[in-house]
Amino acid sequence: MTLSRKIAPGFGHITAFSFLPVVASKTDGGVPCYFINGGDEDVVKIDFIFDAGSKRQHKTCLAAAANSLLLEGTRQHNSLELADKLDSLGAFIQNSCSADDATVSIYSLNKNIGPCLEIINEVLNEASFPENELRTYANTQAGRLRISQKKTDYLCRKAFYAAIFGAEHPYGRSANPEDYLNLQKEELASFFSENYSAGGLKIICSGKITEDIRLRIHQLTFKNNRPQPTLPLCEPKPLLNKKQFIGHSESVQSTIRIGKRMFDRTHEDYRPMQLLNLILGGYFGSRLMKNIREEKGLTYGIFSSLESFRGDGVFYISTDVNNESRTSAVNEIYREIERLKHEPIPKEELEIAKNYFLGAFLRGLDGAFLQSEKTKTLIDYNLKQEYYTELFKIIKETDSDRLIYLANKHLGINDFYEIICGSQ
Amino acid sequence: MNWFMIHFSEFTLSNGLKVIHHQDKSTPLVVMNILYKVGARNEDPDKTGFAHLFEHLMFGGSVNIPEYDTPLQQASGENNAFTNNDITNYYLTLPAQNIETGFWLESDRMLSLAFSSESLEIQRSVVIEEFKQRYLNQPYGDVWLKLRPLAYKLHPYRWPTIGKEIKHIENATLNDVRAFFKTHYCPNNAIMCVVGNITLERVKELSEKWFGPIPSQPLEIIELPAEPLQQQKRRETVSAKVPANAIYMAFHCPGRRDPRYYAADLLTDILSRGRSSRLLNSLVKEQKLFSEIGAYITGDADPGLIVIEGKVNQGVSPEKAEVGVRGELTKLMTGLVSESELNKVKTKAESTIVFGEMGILNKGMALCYAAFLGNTNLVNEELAFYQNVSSTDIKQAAVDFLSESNCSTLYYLTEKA
Repeated sequence: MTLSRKIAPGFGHITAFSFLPVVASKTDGGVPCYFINGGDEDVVKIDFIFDAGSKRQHKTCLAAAANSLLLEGTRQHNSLELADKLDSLGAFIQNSCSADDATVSIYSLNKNIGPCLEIINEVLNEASFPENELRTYANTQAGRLRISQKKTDYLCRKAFYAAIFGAEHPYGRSANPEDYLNLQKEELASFFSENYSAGGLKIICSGKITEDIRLRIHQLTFKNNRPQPTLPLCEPKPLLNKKQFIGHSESVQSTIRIGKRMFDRTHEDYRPMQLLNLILGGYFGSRLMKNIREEKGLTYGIFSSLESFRGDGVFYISTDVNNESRTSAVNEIYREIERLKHEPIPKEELEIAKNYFLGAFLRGLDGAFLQSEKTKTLIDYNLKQEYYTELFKIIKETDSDRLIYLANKHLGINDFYEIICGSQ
Repeated sequence: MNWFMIHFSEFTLSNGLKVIHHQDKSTPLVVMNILYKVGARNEDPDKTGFAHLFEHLMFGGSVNIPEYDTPLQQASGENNAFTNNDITNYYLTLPAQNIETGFWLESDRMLSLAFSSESLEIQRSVVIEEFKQRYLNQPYGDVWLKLRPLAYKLHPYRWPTIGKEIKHIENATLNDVRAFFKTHYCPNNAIMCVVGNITLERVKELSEKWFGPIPSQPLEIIELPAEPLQQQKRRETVSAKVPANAIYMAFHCPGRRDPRYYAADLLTDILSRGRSSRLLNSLVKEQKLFSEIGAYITGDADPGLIVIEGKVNQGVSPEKAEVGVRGELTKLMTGLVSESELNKVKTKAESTIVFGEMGILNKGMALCYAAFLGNTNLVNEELAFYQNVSSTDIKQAAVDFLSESNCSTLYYLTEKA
């Protein structure tokens, strides 16, 4: 039989997602912990998620600095001793801090998890923020920030959030090099004692979890158990002027960011909007990518994004183009947004987008480490596991009429901010 | 014996396509990774950036399939590719039940491309924008455009994957594209790896069905010019509107197939792996010469580079900062590292391998790359190579590779206003 290469082989549709079980329990001291057991390799990841994000800081950079400097010294051990121990155990530590929370993640070989957890436990109870380590950190961060401030994409991003939320809002704020250099040891220590409390802590453990690991996590003790006070609501103070041009003389390209305030993932329209976003600019086959990269060759990449913060969110389109192509790229972006409001999405395009969406979600569930990120999202937003099982149904059922309705409801052109950074 | 093992099978089709398989029943997915043994090092010095431009054209439709991406997305799949100096690597992920779509797509573009001039024009301008976005519109973005020709005088590693200059990309013709395909894109110049929830029998059947009929091509074996031994130190100073002075030091070192590679790799780990490493503690924290500094090995197939790069603190002269680096290098050339320091970097190498090869995509890429180097089982053997490195080997590597005469130093300075 000859092979007919012109005809695609048949393919099946994704019919369900399968999740590893998430076993919830509490440490002996009452800290909520979640175990996701899976994988062949004898490794685990443990995330310690504190309610210590930049929303809780009273000075710029404080939350990020406290998070980054946790492992730089305790009463018993200095920075080098701690680093030497962890490196000798082959452990990787990842610190991350957002407006909403601050996380320390440890990746460890199972055989070394005991001593790794001892160090982490010591650090989370007794971080001491030595002066010299603070100075090194501040100097490095200030240096990196000075470099970022030369980049059009950084300047554009920063201006975008500041325009939507206001420069004093936790989601709109950004740092200057001086903010790092002005940090004081005492401020870090008090931020730590106020916010790194087991009262606001959640632990997620994923990987090949043995009974021994489960036990060790349950036995972790935290000295500070104060519940975190509820944060007062902070209202955005958006800029009235929605168009901004930031001159950057030496740049050969301009960064464009066009977008608006949106809502967080608990909003009823969030999940179908994820599909609309995908069609517009969320994957390689998106309209913007096809139009602006694959048909016009104006850019290396263009994408749109729906971003959720706790209680808020944004939607935006971002790209880098030649300075001369700026106007045509901007016009095409608006044109593609308008099309979503008026033209039904062709059946085939919608089907491809849905199939791709579900495939992408399936890839995001491959393995315990990836599933732990989904679990974190559920915990962050106080959602149930059904949030993701329903997602499957929602994507399947969202039709063209619903997408047109959503585009008209949420993509009002007058709400869009347009930030461009490049040379005149 | 490793506690960490990737079990795999391999076979070769009669047309020379090497196929590797690893089964993982815990995933609903299958990854297909195809490595073509062609990279920027195989380019004509007057037509650089071509391997990478060609990678873009591989998505512009093949002989029987007008569009590559759409049918893949339709089957819930995702794909991407990268080009480096040695290889061009394409990969896709699909739900296991749809993997035949991958075989169909990949075999058709191995068979022949559509060679559309429209696709060439579009991708040419996309790549030019990529050149600008990644190399010209970033502070220090063009450093490899400057450092490579300083370190290499003869070997084709002297230009970066993106190409020496935009002009070369502008000049590419459809005939160049055809010739490049004919020379490099054939089953006997490729390695395929299929990893995930799929049996060996199914991989054999689908490989025969879709790739079996593709004819092999005579391969021209062109010996690449070996880089002559560097006899004396080289320096260059450039300036641009960057916020801090930076120093880049590049030392010739063994390629990935050389047994001495492992000591050279651990040497860079001692210098800059983790928060307890030497350069950070000595030059950033104690002597306060740099705001940040790192060292790494390029890990190329042919002899590559150990690179040390740092941002010099305000108020410190680059010369003084460089003396600081030399001081650390001299320590490694004259003294032995302690057992505990050596064990530390070995353990770190072990966990890097374990964490680096988690997930089916990482496994697929690692298996293909090991096969490209000549031994697929390197994925399981390399840990032992690291573990066998002694303190004396480290010292020898430092003496052999970190001397001043083997170094190309680039000062990348802040332009005076």
